[in-house]
This record gives sequence, C-alpha cells and structure tokens, in this order.
Amino acid sequence: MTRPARPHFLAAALALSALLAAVVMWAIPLRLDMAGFLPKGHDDGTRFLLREVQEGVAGTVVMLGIEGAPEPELARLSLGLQKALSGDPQFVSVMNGVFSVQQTQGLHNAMMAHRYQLAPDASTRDFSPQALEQAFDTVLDGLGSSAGSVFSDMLLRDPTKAFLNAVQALEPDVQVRMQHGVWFASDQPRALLLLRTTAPGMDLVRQKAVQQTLQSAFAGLHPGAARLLMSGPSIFAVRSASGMRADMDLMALCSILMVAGVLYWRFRSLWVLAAIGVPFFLSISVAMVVVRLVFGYVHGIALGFGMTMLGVALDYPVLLIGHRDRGEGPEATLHRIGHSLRLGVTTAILGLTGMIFCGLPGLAQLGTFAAVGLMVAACVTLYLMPRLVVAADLAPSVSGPSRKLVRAETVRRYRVFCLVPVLISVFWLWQHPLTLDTRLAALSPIPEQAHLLDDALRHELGVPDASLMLAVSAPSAQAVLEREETLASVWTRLQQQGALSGVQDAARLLPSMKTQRHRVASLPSVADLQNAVAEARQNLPFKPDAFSAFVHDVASARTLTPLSVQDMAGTPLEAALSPLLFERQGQWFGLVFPERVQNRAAIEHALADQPNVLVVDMKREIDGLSAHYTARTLRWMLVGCVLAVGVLVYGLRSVSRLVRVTASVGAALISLLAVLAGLGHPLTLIHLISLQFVLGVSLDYALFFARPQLDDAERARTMRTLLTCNAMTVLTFGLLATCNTPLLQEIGKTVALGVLFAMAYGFLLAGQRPKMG
Amino acid sequence: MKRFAVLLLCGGFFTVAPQAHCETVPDDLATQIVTHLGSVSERTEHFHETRELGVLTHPLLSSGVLVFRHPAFLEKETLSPRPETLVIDGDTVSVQRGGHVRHILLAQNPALALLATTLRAPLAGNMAALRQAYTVTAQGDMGAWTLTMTPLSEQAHKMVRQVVLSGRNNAVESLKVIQANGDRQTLMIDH
Repeated sequence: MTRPARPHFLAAALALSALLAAVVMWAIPLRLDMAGFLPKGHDDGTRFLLREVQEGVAGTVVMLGIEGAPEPELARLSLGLQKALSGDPQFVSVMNGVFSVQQTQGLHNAMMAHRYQLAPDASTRDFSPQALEQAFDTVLDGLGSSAGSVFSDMLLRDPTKAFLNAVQALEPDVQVRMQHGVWFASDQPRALLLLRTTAPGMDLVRQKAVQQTLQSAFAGLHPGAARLLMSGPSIFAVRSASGMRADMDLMALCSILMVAGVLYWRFRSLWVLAAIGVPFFLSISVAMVVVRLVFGYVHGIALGFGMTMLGVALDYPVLLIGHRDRGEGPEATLHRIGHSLRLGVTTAILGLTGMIFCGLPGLAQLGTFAAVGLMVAACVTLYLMPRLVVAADLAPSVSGPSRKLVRAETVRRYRVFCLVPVLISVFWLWQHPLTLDTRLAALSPIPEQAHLLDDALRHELGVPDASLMLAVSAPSAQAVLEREETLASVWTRLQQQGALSGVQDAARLLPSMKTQRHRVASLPSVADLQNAVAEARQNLPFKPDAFSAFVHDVASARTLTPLSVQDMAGTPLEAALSPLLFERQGQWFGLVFPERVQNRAAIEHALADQPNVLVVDMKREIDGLSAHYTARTLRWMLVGCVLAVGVLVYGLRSVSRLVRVTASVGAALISLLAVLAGLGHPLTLIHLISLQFVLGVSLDYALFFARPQLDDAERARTMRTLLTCNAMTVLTFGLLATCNTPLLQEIGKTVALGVLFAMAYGFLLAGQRPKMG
Repeated sequence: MKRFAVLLLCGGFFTVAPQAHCETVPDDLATQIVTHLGSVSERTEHFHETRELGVLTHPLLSSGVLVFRHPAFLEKETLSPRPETLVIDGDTVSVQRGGHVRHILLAQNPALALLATTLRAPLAGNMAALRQAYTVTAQGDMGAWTLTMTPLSEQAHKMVRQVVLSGRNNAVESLKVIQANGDRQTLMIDH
C-alpha cells in the first residue's frame, strides 16, 4: 500500500462529507409509493377521479385466489380463510360466496322488512288475483319439496319473491361458479375470495400487516401444495414498495462494494478510496437536497438510481487520480485532462435533458438527481480534489506503458472492421424496425404477470377495473341516486345496442328514497289485498289464513320510512356503497362503472348531452398522457443532443477529432439499438432516456480517447483509467438490471450494454491510430 | 350463479344451532338400535310420504326411493308427483328440482343441518351425532322398536318439535317429524 504524505487533510474532508451525507439521509425521508411516480391527470376532474380510484375506497379491495390443489381441498382452504379473517378488525368484509349469519343478519332484517321498496322488478309488487294465483302455485310446489319444511315460512311470507329480487340486485356481477359451496374461477380450479380492508389502500404500513395476516392465516390452514394468490391496488403498492426498498438496500450495499472493489483493484490504496469517498458523499448529499427542494420529496427510486450514478459520477475523481504521476503538482494533472473532463461532464449532463424534462415527476427526479450528482462530482474533482490528492500524494500504483496495452492498441489498425458489426446492425434495424410503445403500462412498476392475474381476478369477481368510469355529482346523496336512476334508461338503450353489459352504481344497490316511496304507493290497501288473496287461492288447497304473514308484511311496508344511505351503516352494503357514493367538500359524487364495455364511443356519445355527468376513459387518459410525455421527452432529447454536438464543435476545434468522436458514439448507439430490436421489445420512454444517457457517457469516453498528442505513458494512463471507469459503470448498471422494480431493470439493462459498446467503439474509433511499425 | 348465493342468504334467516352437549345416561336400547341400523352399509328402499301442513286444506303425498351408503351419503329421490332429488353427501346438500341444482353447505344452514342429522345419523349408526341434536329415548325391543327424539337446543325447538323413528331389527319402518309449527311429515318405508 502506498503511504500518503499528509493524510490529515484528506481524513478530515472524508469525515466531514460523510457526516453531511448522514445528516441529509437522516433529515430527508424517502417516499416509496407509486402515486408519486405516475402522472397526474390533465384537468381537475380527471385528477379527482384518478385520486379516488387510486387512494379511495376502491384501493381497499383485495382479491384472493387459491390454486394448486384438488377442488374440495381448495374449498376447505377458502372456508378456513373466511373463518379466520371475518372476525379480524383489519377487514371490513370477507366474501367467498358463503354469507355468514353475523355478516348479513342486520342487512337481512332490513331488506326483508323493506323488500317491497327495494325489489327492482315491478312484478314482485303485482298483487292482482291472477299474478297472486300464479305465485301461490309456485309456493305450493316449493312446499312439496323435500327441503320444503326448511323454507316454508319464507315461501308463505314472500310469495312474489320480492326479497330474492332485492337480494339479487345487490349481488355483484360475478363470473364465478359455485363449487363445494364457495366461489371458483369459471375456467380453472381456483377458489376465489373478495376482501375489503379497513385501512386505506395507500397506508403501506397497515396494508403490509394485512398481507402478513393473510399469509399467516393461509399457512395456518396447512395448505400443502396449494398456493395463495393476492392482487389489488394495495397488494401492488406494498409489493412495489418492498421491492423498491430491497432494490435500494441492494443498490446501496452492492454499488459501494463493487465500486470500492474496482477502485481498490486499480489503485491498491485505501487512501484513494477515502479520497473518492469525498465526492461520493458530497454529490449524494447535494443531489438529495436539490431534489427535495425542487420536487418537495425524494422518491426511493431516485435514490436507488442515484446510487447507480455513482459508477458514472466517480469517473471524474478516478480520471484525475488515474492520470496523476506521483509527485506532480496540483494543477499539472488538471492541465492535461481538465479540458476533456469539462467537455465530458457537460455532454454527460446534456445526456440527461430527456429524463429531466420528460414531465413525469418520477423520471424527472431521477434525471435531476443524476445531473446534480454529476455536476457536484465534477466540481469537487476540479476544485477540491487536486489539493486532497496532492496533499496525500495519491497516484495509481501501476502506471506507464505496458506491453499488453501496446499490443491492445495495435488492434486499432484494423478498426475499419468496426464497419462489420455496424453494418450488420444497420441491416438488422432496417429489417426489424424498432417500434415505439407509448402506453403507460410500459412504464408501470408492476410486472406484466401480476397485471394479467389482476385482470383475471377482477373479471371473475366483478370488480370494476376503472378503465372507463363516470361520475355524477349533486348536492345530496339522494339527488345523486335520483340522477343515477334517470340514467337507467340510457344504460338499457346502450345494453340493447350491445355497447356494454350493465353498470355498477349506487342506485342499483340502494334506490333513492323517492323511488322507494313511489313503489310503496303502488301497494294495495289491506282490504284490497285480502280480497285478491282470497280470489287467488280459490282453486288452490291453501287455508284462508295461509298468507296472513304476507298480508301483514305488505301492510307494514306501506307505513315504513324508506331506507337511507345512513341506515346502511354497519352492514355489508355500506362496504359496497362507500366506493360508489361519497361526499367530498360538501358535494356528493356517485361513480358509475360500465361492465364489459364493447363500444366506448357509443357510451360517450350517449352521455354527451347529460348535464353533471363526467366521463373519464382512464386508459385513454393515461396512455394519452404517456404519449404526450414521450413526445416531450423526444423534443428535449433532441435539444440535449444538439447542444452536446455544439459543445463538441466548440470544445474539440478539430474536424478529424469531431468525426472520430461522433463515429464511435454513433456506432455504439446503432449497435445498442440493434440489440434492443433483436430482443423484440418495443421502445418505451424508459429506453429513450437510457439511450440518451448512454450517448452522454459514450461522449465522455470518446473525448478522453480522442485527446491529441498523447505520449505512450499518458495513453496508457487513459486506457487504464477509462477501463476502471467503464468497469464501475457496467457493474453498477448491471446490478440495476437485477432490481425488482421493472423501471430500474430496463434502465440498468440498456445502459450497461450501451456503455460496454461505448467503451469498445471509443477505444477503437476515437483513439488516435497508432503509428505504423 | 346468483341463485345459490341467494338461497344461502335466505338460509341465514334461520339462527345457528349452538353445540348441545348430552348429559343423559346412555340408553342401552337406543344405542343398540342405532348400532344395528348402522351395521347395514348400503340400503335402497322405496318410500311413501305424507305431509300435513297447517296452511293446506289437504295433505301432500309423494313417493320415491331412498338410497343410503355408509358413511355419509343419503339420496332421497322423489319420483311422484314431481321429480326431485335431494342428496346429502358429506357436508353439502344438493337439491335438484325442475332442472335446477342447488348446492347448500350444511354449516351455513342450521335448519337443513338438523334435517340432515335427522335423516342420516340413525342410518349411519352415528349415535353421537344424534345425541348432539336430540334427547333420544327408546321403547319396545329389538324386534319392534320406537326411537323418540326431542331437540335439545332452544333454536332446534323452533324448527322441530319431535321426531319418531320406528322399525324392526335393523330395518326402518317409518319416520315421523312434527315441525315446530305443527306441520307433520310421515315417511313410510315400503316392505
């Protein structure tokens, strides 16, 4: 190990910068939810609805599937889970097709008493002698059944089946089949459960506890080979947050270890590591503070990416130390590399314009974090490091020319062969042109597999996916319900046209009080009803008082006050109503979710002239936003590239060097594009910003290779140092490619590969052709 | 699909029968009778049923075939006047009538669970299950016996008043159920 001359200054600088980083980390908390990462709506209405869907009651839905065992076993597990969870205060409701007495007793009593107000079909209130005779005949048939004794009271009290009709209106439109008494997926052996949590969907701490409860309850049933599948907004949120947390821990630990490992391998000195620690701590601290000031919070992904950026930001101090000869004065090294270094920093930062200005808050944070980190690292390298390095007399342990390097450089003679991979790439790109995917799904932090499962469960359990929804607003809950009832005719018409299969709204669950009063008003008086009953049972073997409970119920229904939203408190219906009907700042809103939409245009057209109805096509809205952001990113990338070329022209002042630099960078980008096309994935916004970032880094390398009038010793230093830098970047971005968060994965893959190409082409094309002989 | 859930919701209308525990001294004859009945692992019998309901002016008559297979399968197939199949198998009940099949979990419907115990436990030789729901007393001897069963719990009392099962040796001759509301159901096995 080399022993520094005066290490005190260096040690003090390291301690101070580490202390600063610790304070910043402690003072600025990280956000891990995805809401901060996705775009907001373009107007107030959309933003409101997006927020309702992401953070409102809809976010508390948890869908479970159990599979991987024979159906009776799955049914046992489903029942066991329901039993274990239904008493748990963490859950508002646990449904698997079986309704327990406790769950439904209050609702049951209320619905039984109010059945003539609630039943949607008018036929259940048709008490004409003819209709009653038919109803009584069905009752007689039911009484004759073997299970008749069990149901006889119910049959006699409710001959027109108003109660059944009212209950059916409440049933979610589930696509399940009933097997062994519980819900199963229609097309495969998978038991299904639908849960609602007490905690809000975005309360990650409580939602995490919910998921642990679910898993331990499931494990407690000794499931054997059976698996528990979970989906829903809160599941995604917790999963991506914990994935992100794991990513960040991995990045923080492994990046530092890898970078430190590479640096130690190169310099064989812990003092060099200490010296490079200074810009590392300073750049992270300043970047955190700047992002916090600009955006109001720091997202976990930004920090994770920032850690990766170390691999690039630390290039500058490494270049400085790597190019120093032992005993050299503070300005001597900078005199040789300062110009290229400044140019390199500028182009690398210009390579981040696309990311910074793309308009998506999350990506903009990544870009800002990275740019600030680069800038701080470069400033520290230029203004603080020389004194630290000289004071401690740091320099690479191995320096000067070596035969291996000289031999490697002779490869440049054959650089014309670089045309081969480049031409192959061009040909490949011509044959398989890249497609651009501007959908937001491409940016989603949730893996595609999880999305498919979510879609399947939603479809089967009848949980709306909120891709198309409507909002009705009115001053009161009753007014919203009445408004929704007037829309019923529109839905019927659309249903007949085949535009949709139905809608989910609050009015279906609970008719307005006005409608309930109207229904009750159509009920006959006791005397009239008794006459009708008497006439209806004439030809049937019923005794005169057989239907006295029925007559009594109808008579009391006439005096009952209609059910209001408040009456539903504490029943399962409240859980179903609250996402569909709610108050926000004195105004009431009703959400309407069309089911199985076939024709969006027809729906929008039908609602165009309806006042106070807001139609939001969430998918189109979000994809539209995404396309908008992609266009914006492309514009800013162009600006960044033009500026970078301008900086090059100004900085290089030599046509041949400009040509060499652009050729190497161009070759790297074309090869990278060809590989991306070969992988068959369409290009997304993520790839675009990664490409631009690769561009910035390749320029950085090319500039160093292209420096003029190098002696053998300096060329060797450049070679060694750039190899170190390249190894750090490839390793850290390669590490990023192993992340759980798909967004970071994609950036990692693209950049690691691109930087590898940049090094190869930079070495071959940007460096001076060695003298022959 | 909806129909089943609706039916189950209706089932919720009936209250849960709590676990009743039996403290009566074991009746040797009753145990002997039930053990004898349980020794037949499979039986197929024709039956005639009469149901006298308080709300009807005349009784309902029906007939069909009763199939039992040890330990927990019971099928009551009514052939006339209207075909219907009631299957109690394990812990589920299914009723097929007029082209529709309904599945109901016994645990979810106490009234149906009591019906299942009443019909199945004696044939299965399951004295324990019988004594969980009923006080069981026996009259006569093995040659001609009568088992009288009265529900133990208050809830069960609201559904069934008394069940009387009579027979010879290991053969059942008749089953009489008196519902809480006075309705009577008499099932005669044809021999």
